[in-house]
Amino acid sequence: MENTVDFVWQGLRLEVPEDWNLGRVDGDFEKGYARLDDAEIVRLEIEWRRLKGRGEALRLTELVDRYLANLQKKADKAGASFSVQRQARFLKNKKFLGDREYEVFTWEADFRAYNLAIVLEKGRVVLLRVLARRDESLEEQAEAIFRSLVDQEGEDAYVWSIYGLRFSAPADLKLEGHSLKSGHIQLDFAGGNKQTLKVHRLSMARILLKEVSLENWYPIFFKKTLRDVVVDIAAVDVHGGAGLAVEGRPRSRWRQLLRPLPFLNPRPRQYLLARVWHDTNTDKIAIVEHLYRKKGTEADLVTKVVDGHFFAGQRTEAESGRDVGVAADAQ
Amino acid sequence: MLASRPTRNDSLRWEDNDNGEVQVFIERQETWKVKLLSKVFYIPKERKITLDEVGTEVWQMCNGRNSVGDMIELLSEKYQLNRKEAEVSLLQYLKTLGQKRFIGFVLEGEEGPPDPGKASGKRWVKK
Repeated sequence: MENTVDFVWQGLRLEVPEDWNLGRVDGDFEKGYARLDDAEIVRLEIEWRRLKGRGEALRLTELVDRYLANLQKKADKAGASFSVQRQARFLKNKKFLGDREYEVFTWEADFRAYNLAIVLEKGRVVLLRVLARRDESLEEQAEAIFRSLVDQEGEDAYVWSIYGLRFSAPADLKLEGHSLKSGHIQLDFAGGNKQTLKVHRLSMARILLKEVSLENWYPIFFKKTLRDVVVDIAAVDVHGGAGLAVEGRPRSRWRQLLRPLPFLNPRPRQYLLARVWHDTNTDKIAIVEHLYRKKGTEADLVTKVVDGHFFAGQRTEAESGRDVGVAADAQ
Repeated sequence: MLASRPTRNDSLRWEDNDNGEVQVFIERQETWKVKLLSKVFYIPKERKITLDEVGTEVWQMCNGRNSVGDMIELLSEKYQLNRKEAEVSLLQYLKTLGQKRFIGFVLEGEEGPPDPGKASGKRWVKK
């Protein structure tokens, strides 16, 4: 396979060609969907869900039956041709699948889809699909991608990797929200004790910092977030580059009395610890913010995330058949 | 879309300012409302839009020879952007320029302007 990058989301890791980028993502750790596109078409779709609360576990083949019946129905409705090959034999080596329950199948309509449905060790069911035009064959590539699937569930920290932003965060922090705007990626995590971890990455840092220093840029850009916090900013070295250590404490309670509704508090008092730095190699600004309610509960989370945080280096020349371990990369 | 080649509207006047940024000049439309308002208020004959660094870069690439795909490649390389990031931002920007009729799109197979910046007599394709 050509140059590849990691795509890691909700504990599921895949190694995909570097020009396949996240096009859509939905759901949470238990159930979700992600789609990767190249410059022209959808290239990969991954769906995951945990089967629980159904009494007897549903067999994987039944899920595949339902999925294909649904597709057939849609094709009939649209008057399109649709053919399926169950138990397809395009995988050269199935050893990587181990003794897990799985099914490999293909279907063909406007596109050809190479599918792997598999029950992961920790109980999530994954349907992974690589799409090809009808005039191209992606059997080898599909096999390499299937082989690269790794489930991080059960590890202490999960790696997250999208659009070249890559870091690891403690597994007990759940992704609460994300904003994947062009030029500004933000992932928000929530954990116990009402703490929040926010990871930002901004592109074109040189332009953003053209007329202002990082120290002055940060409080202006995040003015809204910092409105209830008094911040102290100190220059520090982060990953060998210029960075900032930010400490924030809640503003005086007296200020609240000046608000229109002084006894309603939609914005709770929070402490802030953050690291901000400019990665000159990639021309990006990275920000890791930890907001917490009680002093002493911060547990050095920011340092942990920053130490396991890097942009470059995830591009690899993939060897066909290589099974990639996540734990080694996780901080 | 990726194969189409954006080209500047020849009827617009534009120039580089001292900072190397492109300034586009838009002439005031002589509608009856504008005429009436101009009796009471001062309305300049033209307004000036200054493009930022990236906007200037894109504007200069809109010469009818670079395809949208080429522009994505160039921008993602120059500003170290992920291809998708460059694509989304550029398409949005081109859409805005197109809606304002600052640019048009030469479709695949059509001839672009022989000498960018000068009137070419090509068919104007609005997307």
